[in-house]
Amino acid sequence: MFDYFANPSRFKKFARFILPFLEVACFFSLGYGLYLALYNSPADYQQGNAVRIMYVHVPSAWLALSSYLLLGICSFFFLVWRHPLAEIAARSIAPIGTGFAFLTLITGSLWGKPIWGVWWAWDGRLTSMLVLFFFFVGYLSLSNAFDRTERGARPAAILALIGCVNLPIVKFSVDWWNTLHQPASIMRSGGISIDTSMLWPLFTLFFAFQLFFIIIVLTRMLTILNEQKYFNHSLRS
Amino acid sequence: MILIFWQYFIREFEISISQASDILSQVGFFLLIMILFPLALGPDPKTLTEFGIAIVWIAAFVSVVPAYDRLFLDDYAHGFIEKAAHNAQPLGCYAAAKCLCFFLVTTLPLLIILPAICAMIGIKSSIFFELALSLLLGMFGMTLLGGIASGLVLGARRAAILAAVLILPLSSPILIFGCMTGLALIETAPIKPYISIMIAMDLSLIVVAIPAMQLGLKNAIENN
Amino acid sequence: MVSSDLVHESLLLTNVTLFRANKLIFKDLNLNLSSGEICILNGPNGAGKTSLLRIIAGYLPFSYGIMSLGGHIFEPLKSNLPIWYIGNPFGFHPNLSAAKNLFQIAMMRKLQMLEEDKFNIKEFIKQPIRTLSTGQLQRLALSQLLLRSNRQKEAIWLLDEPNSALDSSHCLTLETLIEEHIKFGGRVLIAAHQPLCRHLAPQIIQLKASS
Repeated sequence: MFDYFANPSRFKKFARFILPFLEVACFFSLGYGLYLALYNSPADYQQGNAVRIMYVHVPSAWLALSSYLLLGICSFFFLVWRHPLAEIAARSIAPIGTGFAFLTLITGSLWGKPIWGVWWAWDGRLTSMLVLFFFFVGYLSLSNAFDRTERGARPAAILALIGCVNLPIVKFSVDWWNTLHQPASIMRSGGISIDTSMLWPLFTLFFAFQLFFIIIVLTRMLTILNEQKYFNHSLRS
Repeated sequence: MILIFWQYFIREFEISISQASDILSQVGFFLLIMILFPLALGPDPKTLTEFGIAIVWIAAFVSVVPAYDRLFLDDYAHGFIEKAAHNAQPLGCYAAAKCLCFFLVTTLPLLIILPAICAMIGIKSSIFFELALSLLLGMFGMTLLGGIASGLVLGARRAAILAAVLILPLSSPILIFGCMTGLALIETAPIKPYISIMIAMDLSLIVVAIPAMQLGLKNAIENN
Repeated sequence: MVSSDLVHESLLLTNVTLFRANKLIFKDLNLNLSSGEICILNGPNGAGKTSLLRIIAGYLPFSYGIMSLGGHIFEPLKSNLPIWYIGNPFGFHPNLSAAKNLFQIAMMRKLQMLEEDKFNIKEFIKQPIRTLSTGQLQRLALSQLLLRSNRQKEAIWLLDEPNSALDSSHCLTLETLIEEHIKFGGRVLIAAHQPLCRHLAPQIIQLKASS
């Protein structure tokens, strides 16, 4: 399947075909999910209405993590097989992943204030998300640091791969570090035996976010491909 | 392979000697940070001992990070890396020799003044050797990270700040485990698990860093 | 890896095209350089003379086309055919002495140090590179070509403006050196503005300024 869509023109055709469907699906699932999350789900008996932040926070966090993984996979494909489409995909994913990581941090902070009483705690989860955000920032700044855009592609891909290797280490080290300083007591994550009335909106919104992510990435990839085509045309003439 | 590694190492060493003022200014920077912290924290010996280990680590990190973007820059600008690419040995050999030399040249001076530092912030002299060992392991890993970053930012705009941005998130495990070792030392808890983890991190970093530096350098040549 | 029987085959560039930063440098360039041949690249600044030399040296990847040696794809940095690219920057570290820099190059290529001092580098061999003049630097760089071993007879020399800062007597030395080299079956590719080695009847490739 990879080989089949690796051809840019075939990919473009496929992306143009599938985009409208995704857009419609995203629109409806987002609307339905928000309706469920904001009106049609119960407030938490401890957290009150603040729990509704979870419906944005958790899907963003999942997407931030999976987009970094995807970035690493694309970078690997680009480095090993020098596939231009993989590079374009990586370039398209990075800013969106950064956005989701940032959204996770912001919503987490907003959620933390009413529940924990602080905007920020140096907890293992939070810190590893912050580090992930910095990986994204490093990737973006490295890929844009050169006078020619294509010059930054390979260094950035190498960095993304190293980040993938380092990510579990960061994760475990901050967890360990945390257990030494403050035993896990305050972290009352949304994962506590969650009720189905909350699970439904969560999954619907996660699905909607996922679609949104795919739409944006495909659109960005199409834009970059068209831009390159334009350049090639002007070169040939 | 070993012979050419040794040759590269000697060359690096001679270059470092010819730029000894760089080393001195780095040590000076380290000392400066170590003096600034007690001024900021106040003279209370209890506070100083409590924060001492963390301060030593941060000062060591901050004093070397600004030097990393220049690790390969001179050789890149003067065209030496291209010459090394013609060699039968891979570029990773050159990069490894460079990192090893840089590590020794930056870390050994720190270890030499470490007893004085320990006295300043009230760390017992009995734990000095273990502290030095953990610092040595940590700085080794840092140098490899610095080598990776330096290889990646060759030819970039604002390379110095960029290298720092790349290194700092990568270096967080080293900082965490380094400080944990130090704290365990002060509490006279066993440090063997932490030291083993740091050795494991260094070894895995060697495996990652050498190919990464090689790729980075090769890419830099191709776009010169 | 080029096997030893291939090193005498001709080096062939077929329809090599180079884009840099979305700009066409040269298009469909063809070159055939056999053992014992010399070729001179002409053209204004920015026409891609240095780029072509760097392509053959293996530093610069080209956009389209084929570079081959005896029918096999030629990867310069992986081949055991010695290649010497002599052009600015020369690869010397400014703080080390001329002797040490030259020794480093010899070590990396597993070659013996100089036997004969054709470019009179003895006079400044102990000085650090940063104190040398442009002409002295060029003489030191060209002295790399005198580092000898059996393999070096077939070497490809890629010389970028080798005589731009040389005085007339050293220019003559260089021409004799090149003549000797191609007589022994080596190949030489020169990018030069000043006339050089006209008496050896070189191939001449004219590169146009890229638009």
